[in-house]
Amino acid sequence: MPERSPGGYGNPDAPIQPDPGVPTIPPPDPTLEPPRKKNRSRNVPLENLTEIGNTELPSIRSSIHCLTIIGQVEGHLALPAQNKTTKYEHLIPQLVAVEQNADIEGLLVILNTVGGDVEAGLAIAEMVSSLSKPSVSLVLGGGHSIGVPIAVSTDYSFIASTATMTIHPIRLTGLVIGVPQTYEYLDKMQDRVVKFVVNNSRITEERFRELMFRTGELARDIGTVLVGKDASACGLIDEVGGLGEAVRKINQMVEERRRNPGQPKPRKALNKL
Amino acid sequence: MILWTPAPMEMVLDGIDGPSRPSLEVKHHGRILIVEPVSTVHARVVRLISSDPADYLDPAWQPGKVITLASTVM
Repeated sequence: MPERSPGGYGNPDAPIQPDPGVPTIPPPDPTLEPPRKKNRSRNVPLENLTEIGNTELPSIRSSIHCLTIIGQVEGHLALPAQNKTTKYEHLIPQLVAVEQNADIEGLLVILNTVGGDVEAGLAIAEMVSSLSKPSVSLVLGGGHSIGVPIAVSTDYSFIASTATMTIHPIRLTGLVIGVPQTYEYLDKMQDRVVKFVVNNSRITEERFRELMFRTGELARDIGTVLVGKDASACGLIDEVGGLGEAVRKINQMVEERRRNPGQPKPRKALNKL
Repeated sequence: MILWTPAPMEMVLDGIDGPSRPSLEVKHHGRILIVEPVSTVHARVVRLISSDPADYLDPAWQPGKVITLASTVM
């Protein structure tokens, strides 16, 4: 029995007690209520679950940042919409942020690229190679043409066992002026790439040029396609591996840098094959 | 400009003179998003541009998600 108020039944100021004989309507269960428009922003996990079958993941802050280079590397010319592109105006500020932000300790570069603009690619590769923080690259699927200097620009590189890298000469597209200077210009452009690759990997210049000008391997061009372990055997890429190995390596390098801050990064080009 | 790619040039440059697909680059809560407008105020997320892997776990920027542009462009 509920406790009676001190005033008893005769007191008009006493609070009205519910009659135990009459069933009371329980308050509505908030979990059964249909989501109101006002509460929409608070119901993001539920909305995602019902709309696209996705559950909420715990939010984590990562000290390793990741650059994904996919499709064509887009530089000075905006490519038509059917191309999937990675734009340098997106990557360059991200690289500056990685270098400047004290919370970011390492960079993972993931490549699945079909080549692209030489100057944009070289700009990205130069920025990655001059980064003061540890970096690891992983070639998945393909790292062709200008993807090669980007892949070797990191401190350590991985290639998936099924991934391929096409090494072939630079061609001129569009208007070709048939003068000897055209050839010299192309040769100069190619030298920039070859020098960068040789300076940032364990491959020698002779070997790289030999792969670039080999005949009988590509249907439409001269050059070579290196599959997984071929790329690591010739010293272009450090190791065959996947995401697990790449993340483990970057964590290990970050750990080493924490222990010896200020130590210069080892140069892999010094131990040529 | 030199394109260095094993992909055939006629495929890469196909439609370079034609109309481009309507896509918009917006900043949404500090992140760059490539979106496809679906109405004057709403747009569908096509791609998130971020180097922070944690951003890709946030359901708010999942590709296919419709966001309100009012707070970003107006």
